Amino acid sequence: MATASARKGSLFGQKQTKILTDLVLYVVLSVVGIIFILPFAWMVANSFKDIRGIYTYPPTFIPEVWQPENYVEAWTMTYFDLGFLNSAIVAAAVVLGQLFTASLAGYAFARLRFPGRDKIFLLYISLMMLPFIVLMIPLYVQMRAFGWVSTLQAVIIPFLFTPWGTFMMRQFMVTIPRELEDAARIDGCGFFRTYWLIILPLTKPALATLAIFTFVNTWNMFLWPLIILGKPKVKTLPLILASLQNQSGMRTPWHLIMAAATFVVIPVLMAFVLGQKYYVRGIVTSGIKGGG
Amino acid sequence: MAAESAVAPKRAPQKPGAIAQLRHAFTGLRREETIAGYLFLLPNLVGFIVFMLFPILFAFYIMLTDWSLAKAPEFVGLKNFETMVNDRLFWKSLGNSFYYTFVAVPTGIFIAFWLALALNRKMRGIIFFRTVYFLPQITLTVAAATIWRWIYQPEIGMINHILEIFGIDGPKWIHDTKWAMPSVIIMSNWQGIGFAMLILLAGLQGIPEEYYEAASIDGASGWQRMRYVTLPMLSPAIFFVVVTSLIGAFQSFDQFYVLTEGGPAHATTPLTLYIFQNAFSFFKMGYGAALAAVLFVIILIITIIQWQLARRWVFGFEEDE
Amino acid sequence: MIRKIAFLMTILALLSFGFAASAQDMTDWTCGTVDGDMAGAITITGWEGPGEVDKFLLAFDEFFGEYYPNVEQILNTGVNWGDYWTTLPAQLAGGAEIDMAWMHDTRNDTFAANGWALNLDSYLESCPIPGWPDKFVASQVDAFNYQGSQYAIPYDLAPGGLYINLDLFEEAGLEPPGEHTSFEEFTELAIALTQDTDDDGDTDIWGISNLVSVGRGAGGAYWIIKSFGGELFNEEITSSVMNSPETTAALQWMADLLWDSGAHPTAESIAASGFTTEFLFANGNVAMHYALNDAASRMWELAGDSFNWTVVPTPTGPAGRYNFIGGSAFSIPTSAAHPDLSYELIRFTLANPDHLCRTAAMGAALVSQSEFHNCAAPDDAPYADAYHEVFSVIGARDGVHPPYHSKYLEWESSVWVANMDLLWTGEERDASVVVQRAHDQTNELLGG
Repeated sequence: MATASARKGSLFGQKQTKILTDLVLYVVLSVVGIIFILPFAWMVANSFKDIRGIYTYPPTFIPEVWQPENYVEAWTMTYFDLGFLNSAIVAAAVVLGQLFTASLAGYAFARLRFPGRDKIFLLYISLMMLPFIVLMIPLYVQMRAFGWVSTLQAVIIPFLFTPWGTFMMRQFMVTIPRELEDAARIDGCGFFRTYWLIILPLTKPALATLAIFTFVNTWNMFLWPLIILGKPKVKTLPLILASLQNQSGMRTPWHLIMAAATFVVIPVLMAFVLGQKYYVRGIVTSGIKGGG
Repeated sequence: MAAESAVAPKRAPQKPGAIAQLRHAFTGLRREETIAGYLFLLPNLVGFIVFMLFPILFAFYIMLTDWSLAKAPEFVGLKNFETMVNDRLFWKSLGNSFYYTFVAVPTGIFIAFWLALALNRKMRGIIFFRTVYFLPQITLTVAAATIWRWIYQPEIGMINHILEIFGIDGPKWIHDTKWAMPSVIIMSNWQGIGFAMLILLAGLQGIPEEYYEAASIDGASGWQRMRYVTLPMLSPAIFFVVVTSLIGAFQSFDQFYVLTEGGPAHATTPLTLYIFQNAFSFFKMGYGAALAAVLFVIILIITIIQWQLARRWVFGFEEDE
Repeated sequence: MIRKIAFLMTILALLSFGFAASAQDMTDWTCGTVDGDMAGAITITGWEGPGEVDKFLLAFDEFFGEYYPNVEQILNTGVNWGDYWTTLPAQLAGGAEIDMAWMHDTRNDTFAANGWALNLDSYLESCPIPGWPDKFVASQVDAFNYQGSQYAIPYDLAPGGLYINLDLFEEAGLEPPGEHTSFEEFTELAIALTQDTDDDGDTDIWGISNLVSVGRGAGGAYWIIKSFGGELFNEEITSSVMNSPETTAALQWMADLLWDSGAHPTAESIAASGFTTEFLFANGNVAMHYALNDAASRMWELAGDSFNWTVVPTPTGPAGRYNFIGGSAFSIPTSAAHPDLSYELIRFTLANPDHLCRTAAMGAALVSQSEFHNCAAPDDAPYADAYHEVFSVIGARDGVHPPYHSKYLEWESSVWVANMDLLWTGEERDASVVVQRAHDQTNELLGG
């Protein structure tokens, strides 16, 4: 309800209504937001506790003993910085690769006419439907044949291609007004130039979304790296974090894990906030004016 | 074939033979476009053929075998599919997958839709709120599961504490075979909503402001603008979220694995977890692959149905080619 | 704590160097089948992570430094327990050459039956491990034996025991249970110690905890079933015998602690923290806590000396006294590139007396060579004496584990947990109902 009237307020330009709806919205968003922020806040709170504070029953939110040095200890853990670097390399490569391949294919599926297009499209996205669990072992066999076991390319190159991202790019590209493209074509732009100069700039929010999701997914990718990255020096962050919580272990250092996990989240958070820039500068406001 | 009719243009003027169509595609004006189309697909196709073709063919082969992973696969024909018929855990986990998917996806998308509308406003601090709603996506899953277990704890947990204020005696949540699944659904929606919200938000950002202005000039009410501008223009994004969420829900694994480990008494074991157990705990990879094939077919059928329906409501499907 | 361990290590290392200097001249720990100049890499994988695995890594370094200086160790340790059992089969199935892998008793038979693990009999014959099998704990030697052959060499044992809050016993004027306490007496104690201190209708202090847990495998109940005179399978493990009155009585006894006397926190109470169930005891909310020996060091870290606590043996049943023992071992995958070298390494790690006391002291668990059991608990720990008596002497003596078999994991997940969870969540409170269903499903699985 609040949102329906919000739309009304903003469009009718009545200042008072807008302030009122904004206020209501702030309250609603804040209250609901608490549920969303709580586990994260709890993770951060725990990252400042000592080990006994973590196990207090019933659990307390605010640390009794503040121990910010957890962060220093987490950072100096074996291979943590190396894991950070490995994860960064993998995430950056996969994000860039997926943005390129998905937007290219998405454009072809959304805009170009060629035989078999829609069949190929459905076939391509049906790849998403087979559980990765059953593909894992044959992919491992293949990686061995390539000599890629325990190398970073094993977690980068097979993941540069994405049915999911292609599907998403297609869905966003079909809403772009055709006139823009036609104008470019008449001006003598080839298909690639049209894609590069017209379509890509217009799909910034979608590209940003894909970049954020690919980054998050790659940054958190677990099962495949776990299996293919057997050597400590190539391990990515989630693997290093997981190795700290050995179940049969004597003492799982939860306070350090929480500090490390908070570390891990920071780049993702930054990526998200940076990506927001492309949300505000939406598509057609700049697009139509520039193109038309 | 259903797929073809699903995505074919609605008003195909005439239907020339496939060969004639191909010839037409490679000659004349369309030639350049056809070649460009295939070239644009090339990186994906090469990637697919090099990295996915072998694993997929292999998976389709091993579902017809008995494979303990250690010894060579032994061909058994359709035996694995026969075994399924009398496997009570297969039926149970299949039921769980359906239960989870068809409750979690509609509720999740509904909430995400309104959230996206709310967060689409131009107001101070909106990026902060977007970040807040996205945070669950990036919170370490183990940390998230830990706090949710605490939230669900029947005696001192947060939910039942709040319910108690209203005089309600809350259920035992993840410790009750009937409430365990709703508990997982709540947690996974909490975690996944940021994703759907963000896609829809990107879709909303893509709707030209001019369309709203034109509608306002025509005297359209808020509801009419929603009905005739927002929904149609957002429909490709909604369609994408619906299709991928359904696929994702049928394939979800992590939230079950970390929150309930499939229990109590398999109340939250979805088909994916059962496949996983068969493959890696019971060493019945052939059976696991057969189960995966069933899951694949189910998802495929559901997707094709959605494709058929899409022509009626999704922008970009009824487009004349 | 870390500093303490480091200090202890240094002392032990110095001591062992002293001994080593004289001892190593006499014993050659190779079997003579591998060239000492051999160059190459040995791949080792396990779930134990930093802190735990160090005791073995020291031994590995000593071994390679002494005998094979050109061999590189590729260590993939610290793979989180649950993930380990996905990673290992996937890597092996994908053709990875892994030379040595951590093995667990619950999985041994499945790995052996499916051709994953190397049969070690010929190695044990041609190059015997000193003290094998007499000085190793019998139940663990047996746990890694499948159809008469040895597939892994146990390195530790994890016996169950009761952690006792002595302050709560003193307040109640009761004596802690002992080796000869019967299950009836034990129940009475548990009930007497259960209290609602603030009279709000909710229990604040439980008599016993962690004896029952949702999702737990059969190992947690098997020793009780045996104590009551029951069994799970017939001798050949081809059919179920679990619908016997004795097995039913044992499970009913466990369920009654939850639903009849309320002396045991229910699943939801112990799941309050996502970490472990030990916090309840560590916070003084529990009088008696069932746990394995490896909990001792955690308890010491969590509870410290904030109250007086100790460990005592679990009770004795009408059919005798049985003590749960679980444990881990080293195995050699069939795809190993250097199985001979792996065997030598295992042999050195688990039988060289020069470092075994150090190895035992650094782990939470015991080395399974009984001679070194008294090294297990750090001398400066106040619980050391009780630990030794309860786990190393009584626990090891009465050790019993569920009858493992090649379909054990599948059975445990699809039959045992599926039915017993109903009992532990209170959905079903009559043990005979779930036992009968589990009985039928077991026969279906074993027969099929």
